[in-house]
Amino acid sequence: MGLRSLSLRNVVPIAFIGSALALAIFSFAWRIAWLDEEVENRIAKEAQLLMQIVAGDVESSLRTGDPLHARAMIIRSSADRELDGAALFDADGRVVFATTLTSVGDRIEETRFAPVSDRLAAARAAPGNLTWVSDDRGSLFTTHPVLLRRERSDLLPSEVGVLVLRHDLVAAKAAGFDDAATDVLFGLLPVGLIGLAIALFFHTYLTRRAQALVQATDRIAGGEYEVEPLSGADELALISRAIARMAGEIERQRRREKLMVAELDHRVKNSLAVVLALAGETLADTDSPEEFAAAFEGRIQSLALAHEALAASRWEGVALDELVRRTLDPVAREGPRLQLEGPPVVLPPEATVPLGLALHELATNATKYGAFSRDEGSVEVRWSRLDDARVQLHWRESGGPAVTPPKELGLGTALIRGLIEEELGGQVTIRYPGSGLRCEITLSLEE
Amino acid sequence: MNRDDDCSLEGVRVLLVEDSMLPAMAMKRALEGAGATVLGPHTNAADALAAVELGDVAILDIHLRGGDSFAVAKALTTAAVPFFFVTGYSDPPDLPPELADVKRFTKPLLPSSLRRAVQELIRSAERP
Repeated sequence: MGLRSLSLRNVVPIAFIGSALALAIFSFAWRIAWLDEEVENRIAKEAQLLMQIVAGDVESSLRTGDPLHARAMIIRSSADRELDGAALFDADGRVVFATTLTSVGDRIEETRFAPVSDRLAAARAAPGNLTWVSDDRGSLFTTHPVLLRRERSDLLPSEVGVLVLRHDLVAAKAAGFDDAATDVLFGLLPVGLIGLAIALFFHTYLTRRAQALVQATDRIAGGEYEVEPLSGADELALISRAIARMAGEIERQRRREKLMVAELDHRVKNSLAVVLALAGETLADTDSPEEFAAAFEGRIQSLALAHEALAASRWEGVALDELVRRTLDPVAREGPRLQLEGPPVVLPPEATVPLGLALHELATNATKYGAFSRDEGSVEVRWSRLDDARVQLHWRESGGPAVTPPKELGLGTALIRGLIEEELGGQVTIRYPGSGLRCEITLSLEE
Repeated sequence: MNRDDDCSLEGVRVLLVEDSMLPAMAMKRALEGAGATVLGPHTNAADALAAVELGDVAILDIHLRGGDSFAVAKALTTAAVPFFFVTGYSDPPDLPPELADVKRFTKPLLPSSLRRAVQELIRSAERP
């Protein structure tokens, strides 16, 4: 199983079981490491007690002054106490008499005691009560001083010690090993069970939380954006909150999209209504199909140009100079015949198309009757801000034929007035001095 | 776009509330062509409210510059002047429930359809 395929919900349980195992192994090793010392200490303590009793027996028998009696006593006493063996030493540490349980009787096993007698002699010389030494077979030895009565010293070695050994050290250690194993095993069982329970809990908990996350994302994919994030501060809760935020963002975008589609639908229909109206008005204002076509095409073209500028600004608003240029370009490019001047002004989106159409009407009029009808004629378009919220635009023709006020209001003038004054709430002043038509348009820049 | 249908609106006073000038001009021409008298077009709610009682019927654009025509609609209901909505929205947002039953026409409204719609409005008002 690779790390990538390791399920997150299994990591915690595996860690729990792993640490329970590690704890068991460690505590077992600890017990074993101290086992020798522990067993030796325990047996030495027991032996010490027994030996004191044996020493007492020997001492009292020695008082009788009969060495044989003393020997018999040490055999009986050590047998009674289930000691493995005992011995008498002389003052030089040499074994005078020794016994073992396996050889009850007078058999001396000096070989068993001899190797340690030197070390015992050295230990006796050291201060302190009892000193234990062990031989290479694992038995423990010590001596216990026996108080001798001086007057009897001729009967016995001048100094006597008692030595005790036990053969069951190995068995005790084996038993200790078994005990440790049992303890650890039974200690491990509850630890393991608790570990298993915790592992199971985490497995279930994480599985549930992961399922909740999956369900939440499925709901979002299904178009349901109200998701309750998981409680808590763990990583899954963090992911869950991030998903909830993402859902909110998707919802906002969907809503905006829906609004935009509705708005687009609205604008298309309004545009069609405008085109339909322009067709009707132009038809009523013209006398021949040719005249109608030219006038209608020009108006539709100005609508298209204004829309194009609006789309290029992402419907946020078109710069006034750009709208003027785009609208007038089909009639006259900026140059000697068309001068533009004014500060940067951005028009509100809804003012773009009406103002574009109004400028188109002015240009058409200039082409038919005004400055653009002659090569030497020119038009000056200047604008300035009246204040933060209003802009004033001046259209001034010169070099055209002499101007006289029209006898009746044409469609062009009606459109300019209607679009600027009624639709945009602005003001229009048109004057006809002989030098050329002048038009002043004041518009609000507030949306 | 001419009077090629038999819809006569002779003598009918139509209150027209429409903030988009060109469609308003077209509607006015279509109605006047059928003999109606057009009051307006009014481009804002305040002007329209002042003229509520003067019309026999009314045509309202739902969305006006800087607001809507719902107040005008309610005043027309109170004054028992029959009216309908014209709107660019297929599904107008924020329509008050009490105005949900008012007839709505989607732009662009052809002149013949407009005349028929107004005549229908007059007929249904005379019927009760």
